[in-house]
Amino acid sequence: MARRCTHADRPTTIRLGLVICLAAMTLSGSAEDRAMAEADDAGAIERFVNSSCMNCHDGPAAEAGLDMEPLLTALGRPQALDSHEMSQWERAFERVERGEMPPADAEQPAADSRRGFLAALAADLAVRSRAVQIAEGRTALRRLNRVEYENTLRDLLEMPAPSVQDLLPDDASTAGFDTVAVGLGTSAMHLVGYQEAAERALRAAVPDRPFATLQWSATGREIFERQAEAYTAWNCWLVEDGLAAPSRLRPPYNTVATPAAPADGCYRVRVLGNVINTEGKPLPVSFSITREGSGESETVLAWRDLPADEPKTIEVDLVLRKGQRVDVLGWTLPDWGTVRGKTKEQTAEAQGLPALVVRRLEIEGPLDSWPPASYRTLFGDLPLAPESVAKAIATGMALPKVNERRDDKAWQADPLVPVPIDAKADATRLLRRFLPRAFRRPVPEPLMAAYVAEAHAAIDDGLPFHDAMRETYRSVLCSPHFLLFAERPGHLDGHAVATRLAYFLWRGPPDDQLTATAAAGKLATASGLRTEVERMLADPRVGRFVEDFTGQWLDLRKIDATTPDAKLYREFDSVLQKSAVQETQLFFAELLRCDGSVLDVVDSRWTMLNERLARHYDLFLESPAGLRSPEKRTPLVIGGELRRTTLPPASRRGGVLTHASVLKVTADGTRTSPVVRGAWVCSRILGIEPPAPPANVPNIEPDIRGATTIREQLARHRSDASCASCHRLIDPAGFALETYDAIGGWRDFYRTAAKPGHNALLANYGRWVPRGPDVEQGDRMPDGRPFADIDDYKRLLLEDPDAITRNLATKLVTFATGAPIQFADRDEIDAIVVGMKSQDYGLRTLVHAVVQSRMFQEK
Amino acid sequence: MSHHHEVIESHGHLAVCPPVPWTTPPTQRPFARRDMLRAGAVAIGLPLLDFFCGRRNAMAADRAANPRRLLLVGRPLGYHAPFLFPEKQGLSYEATRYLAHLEPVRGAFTAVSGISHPGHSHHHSEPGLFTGVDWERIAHPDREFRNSVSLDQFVAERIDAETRYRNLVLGKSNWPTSWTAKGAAVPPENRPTAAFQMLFLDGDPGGVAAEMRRICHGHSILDRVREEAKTLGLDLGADDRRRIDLLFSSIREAEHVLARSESWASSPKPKVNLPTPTRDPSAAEVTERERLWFDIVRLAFATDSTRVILLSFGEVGTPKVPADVNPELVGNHHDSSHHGLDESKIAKLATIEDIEMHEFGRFLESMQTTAEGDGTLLDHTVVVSASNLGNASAHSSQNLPVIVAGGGLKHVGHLAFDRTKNQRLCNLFVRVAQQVGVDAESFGTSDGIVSEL
Repeated sequence: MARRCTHADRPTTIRLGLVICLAAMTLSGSAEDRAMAEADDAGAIERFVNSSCMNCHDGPAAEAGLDMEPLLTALGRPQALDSHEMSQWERAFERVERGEMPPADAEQPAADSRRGFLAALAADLAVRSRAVQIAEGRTALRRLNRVEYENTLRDLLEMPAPSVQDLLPDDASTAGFDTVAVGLGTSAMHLVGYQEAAERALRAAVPDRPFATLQWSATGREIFERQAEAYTAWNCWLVEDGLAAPSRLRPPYNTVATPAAPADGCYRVRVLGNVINTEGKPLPVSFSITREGSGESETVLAWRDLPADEPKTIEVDLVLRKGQRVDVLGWTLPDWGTVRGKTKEQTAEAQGLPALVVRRLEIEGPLDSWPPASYRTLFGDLPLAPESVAKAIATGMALPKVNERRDDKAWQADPLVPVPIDAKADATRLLRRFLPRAFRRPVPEPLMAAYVAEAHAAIDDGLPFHDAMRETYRSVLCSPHFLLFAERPGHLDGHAVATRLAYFLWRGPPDDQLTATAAAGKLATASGLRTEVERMLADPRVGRFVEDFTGQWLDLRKIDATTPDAKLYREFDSVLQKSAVQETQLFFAELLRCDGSVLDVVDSRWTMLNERLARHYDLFLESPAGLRSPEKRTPLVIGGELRRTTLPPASRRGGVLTHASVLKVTADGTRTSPVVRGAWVCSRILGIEPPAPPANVPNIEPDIRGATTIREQLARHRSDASCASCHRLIDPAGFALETYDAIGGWRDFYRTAAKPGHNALLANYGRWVPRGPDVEQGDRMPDGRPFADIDDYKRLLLEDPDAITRNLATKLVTFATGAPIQFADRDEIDAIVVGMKSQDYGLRTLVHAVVQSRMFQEK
Repeated sequence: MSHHHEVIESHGHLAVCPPVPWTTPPTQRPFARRDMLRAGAVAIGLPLLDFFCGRRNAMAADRAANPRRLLLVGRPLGYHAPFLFPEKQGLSYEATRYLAHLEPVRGAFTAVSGISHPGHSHHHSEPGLFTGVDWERIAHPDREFRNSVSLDQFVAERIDAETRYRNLVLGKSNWPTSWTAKGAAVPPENRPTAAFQMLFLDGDPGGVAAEMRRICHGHSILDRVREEAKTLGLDLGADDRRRIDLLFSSIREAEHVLARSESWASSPKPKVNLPTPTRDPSAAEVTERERLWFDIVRLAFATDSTRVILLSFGEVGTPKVPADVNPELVGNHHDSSHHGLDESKIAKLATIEDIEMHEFGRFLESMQTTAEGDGTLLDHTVVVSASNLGNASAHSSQNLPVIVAGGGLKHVGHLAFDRTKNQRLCNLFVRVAQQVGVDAESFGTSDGIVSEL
C-alpha cells in the first residue's frame, strides 16, 4: 500500500475507493498476491517513467506534446487528477500495456519493470477513477436522444405513426454511440424543439373526425380493367383473374397499388398471388411507399416470397401515414425500361417473361379500434363529440344537430373533442394516471399537484377542456422528469433500473409490466433481473435495439452514405443494399435469440442469406467451372426472404467482417482503402482506438509519389517510424479485406476505367468488367505472425477470443449505460470476459452479464 | 403598391405575453409606424432586388443606417494551400488556381496566410475553429470537453439587432461549430428547405392568436423546466450540477428565442424571388448544395432577417459531377484530402475545392452587386471563410486557409504572416468583431489585434 502511504492526506473517499476496488479484484490467489506486491511498489511508476519515457517525453519539446514530468508531479500531489491528467495517464497505461510504448526502435524495459509499472499504475488509476464514480456516478446526467424521444412518444401515446425527429437537432455521437451522456447537451434549440414535437404528437393523438377506415379489395382483373390500355402499354397481361406484371413498373406513375391511407395508423395488406415463367422458382414481392410529392425512388417497407405454382396469400402489417399507398411489385424483376426494350417485337406474354401475378389485393385499416389507443391514453373513456356539441353541453344550451356524414371541411371547422363530465375532476383523474407513466416512476405529490393546478388554472382561464389538457400534457412532455434519466449517484433504484433496461433493449420507455416489476422490488435480485431481461428479449421491441445498436456499432446507419459508381459496379442495386443490411441485422438478432457465440462476429459457419446475396457472394450449388451461365446456375438460397444458411467451407463469408454491408460502409462507394477498413476493424471489432496521427510532426506526410500499388504506398507509411507505430496495428486488417470490393464482392483484381482487351468475367454475374492489377493477399499481424488470406486472418483473430469478447462487452456497456468504459470498470469487464469463457461466449449470456454488472446497476 | 400597404397594415404588434425585459419596449423602438409607412414608400422607389419587400420595406429606415453583419463559413478539410495562397503579398498578387475564382471581387477580400489557433490539431479541432479555445479544453473530447463562445454567438449576443432571428447556425459539420458563452453547442439547421421555410414561408393554420397563446405557454413551460431542474440538481454530483447550470443557460436562450418569435409572429415573412426548394441536395451534389445555401444566406441578409450567420459545409463524400468530367478527377473528399502529395489524389481534391471556391466567389459577387443603403450588401457584411485544418493530409491546424471579405474593411489582397510562427486567428477575430460594431478588446486566445485590415 505504498502509494496509499505516500498520499496519507488524500481525501477519505479516495481511500474508501481503494478498499472497494481491491475487494472487487477477481484475481486468483497467487496472482493477487503478486499484483498486490507490485502495486505496493511506490517507486515503480517513477522508475519506469524516468528510464523508459523521459528520453522522448520530457520538457516543452517532448515527443507528441506529451511531457511526463508534470504528470508525475500530479500523481504525487494530494489533490485529485484533473480529467486531462487522468486521460493522459490512461493513455500512457494503454500504450505501454499493448507494448506500443516504448516504441520498437527504442531500448525495451525489463519485463519486471514493465509489469511493476503497469500494476502500480493500474491500482492507482483504478482508485482515482472509482472515487469519481462514487461521488458523481459513472454516467453523467443523461437526456433522451431524439430516437429515444420519438420512441417514447410512440410507446407512451400508443400511436405508431408520428415522427418528430425532424424537429430536433442531430445528436452527437461519443465513444461510438449517440446514447453517451456527455455528448448530449440540451441547447435552446432542443427546448424549443421539444415544445413543437410535443404539440405535433398530441394533436395527432386525438382524432379530429371519425376514422375514415379503409376496407378495400380488388382482383387483379378489376385493377387491370380500370386502366386496361395503360396496363397493356406497361407490358402487363391477364392470367385468369390475375394481373401479370413482368417489371417493377414505375411508381408512382404506373404501379399496382392499394388506395391511399385515409389516416395515420397501422394497416394490414394482403396479396393473393404467385409468379410465373421462373422455372419453378419463387420471387419476392415488395411492399413499398413512394415518398409523397417527391416522385423519388420508393422506400421498401417489407418483402415476402411468392411461390411459382399454387397462388399463396401473404399478409403484412405496415405503418402508413395519411395519404400513403402501398405499391405491390415484383422486387427483383427488371425495371420497366428494360422490359419495354425487350418487347418491341413480341409481347412479354408471348415471350413468357417472368412475371408477378397479383390475383387479389386487399388493405384494411387503421387496425386500431375506435377511439384510438392514443386517445384513450390521454382522455380515458371520455366521449368524443364535435366541438359545437361539447360547447353546448358545457353551457347547458340545446345540442346542435350534426350530420354524421358531413364533409372534411365541416369536420375541420367543428372537430371532435373530448367531452368532460366534470372538467376539473376529469383533469385530475387523467393526469394522475398519465404522469407516472410519462415520468417512468411514482410522482411525488407536490409535483403531481403542480400539473393538476396548471390544468385547473387553464380551465379557470376559460380555455376549453381539451385545450387546457393539451397544454398541460405538453408541459409534461417537456419536463426534465420526462426528458432526463432520473439517476442519483450510487446504486440505482428499481425504477431507474427499469428505465435503463427498457432504453437498452427496447430503445423506449418501460411498459406497465416492467414498471410493476420494478415497483415490487424484483429488479433488485439477480434472478428477478434475469427473468425480466428474458421477457424483454422475447418482445418484438427488441428489434429497435438490434437496429440501433448494429446501426452504430457496425455503421449500418451509413449504408446510404455512398452511391457506388454506376459504371464500375453495374451489378449493384437497391435489392442488394437492403438485403445486405438485413443480413447483418438478422445475424445479430439470431446470435441474440439462440445465445450464439460472439466469436461468430469474426467467423461463422452460417449466415443469413437470400438469393440476391447468394449470387453476390458467388454461392451456387454447381461449381463455377460448370458450363452453365450464371442465370442458369442455382444459388444456394432461392427467393428474397433471408434465412439462416450453412456456408460452404470455402465461402469466405463467415462473420460480419465479410458481410457486404460492412464492406460497403467501410468503402467510399467506388474505392476501398486498407487504412480506413483497418482502422474500422481495430475500433469496432478489436476494441483498439487507433490514436489520431500526431499533427505537425516532421515526416508525418510521407511522400508517396511514384508508389504504384496501394501496398507500395502503405509500405512507405510503415517505413516511417512515426507512422509505423500505429499503421502496423491498422493496416493488416485492411490488407486482409483487400480482396473485397466497394460493394462487398470478392475480387482477385481491381476494376479500373476500361482498357480495351483487359476485361475479365464475373462468374457470379456473367458480366465483363475492366481488369486492373491483381489484388495481393495476405500480410503480417502486428506481432509478426503472417497470414495468407482472409480465412487465415480470421483464424488468427480467433486465437484471442477474449479480445473479441471484451470489445463487444465494452460496446454494449457503453451503449446501455450512456458512459464509455472508465478505468475503474476494467475489473468488471475482465470478470465478464472470464465468465463468458465457460458460457461458450453466448451473446444472450453477455447481455445478461452486462445487465447484472455494477456498471449497469449504478448511476 | 396595394401589396405593400397590406403588409404594413398587418404589422400591428400583438402583445399578449407580458413584456420580456430584453426586448426594446414598443415606445422606444427606433422607428414608429409612421416612419415605416414613409420608409415603405421610399423602398418602392429603390431598384427591386430579387425579393419583394414584405416586412423588410418597413425596415428600410434601419437599412439606411447601413447595418453591420457577420457571416462565418466553416469547412472541415481546408484547402490545398499551394493552390490557394499566392507567392506575393499585397493586392498585386498573381491569382492562384483557387483565387482565380475570386477575381471578379479582387480588392474586396483578403486571403490571410500564416494564421492559426495555437496548439490546435486534427479533425476534432473543428469545434474550436470559431471559438479559438485553449486547445487542452477540447483536445480529449471523449473525456472532457469545455468549449468557449464562438465568434458568431459572441457578436450576435452583443449587437442583438431587432431582426426576426438573432442569428442563424446553418449547414452541416462533423462537430458543432457554434457555441454559447456557457459552452453549450448550438446545433446547425442542416436542411436548406427548413431554413428557407423558417425565413421566408408563412403558414400557421392556427392563426396568429393561437400562435401567441402557444408562445406564451412555451414561456410557462420554460419556467416549469427551470423549477423542476432546480430540485433535480439537489441530489446530483458536482459535474451534473454543472450540466444543470448549462441547462439553465439554454432555458434563458430559449426564452429569448420565444420572445423574438412573439414579437415577429404577427409580421408576415418577406417574400423572395427564389423558388421554394423542394428537396435538400445531398452532400455529393456539391454545386447544388453550396449554391442553395449561399442563396439562402444572401436573401436572409438582404431581407434583414438576421445579422449573424454561421454556415458550415460538411465533407462532400464522392462528389456528383457532370458526366463530361474525367472520372480520374473524381474521388472521395476525405480520402483525397489525405493525399500524401500523390498528384492523382490532389487532382481529385482540387475538383471539389474548385467547385467550393467557385461558388464562394459567385456568392461574394452577388453580395457585391446587391445595392443596399449607400453601398452594397457585401460592404455591410464581414465574411470570414476558414477551416480548422491547414493541411488535412497531415492533420495540421497550422497555416489555416482564411479569407476575409467585405464589411467595409480595407482589403489588402494577400496578407501573409509568418508560416512558421503563426499569427493568432483570434487576433483577426477581434478585428472582425470590432468591424461589426462590437466593442471587444479580446476574444478566445487573442493576444492582440490584426491591425493590417
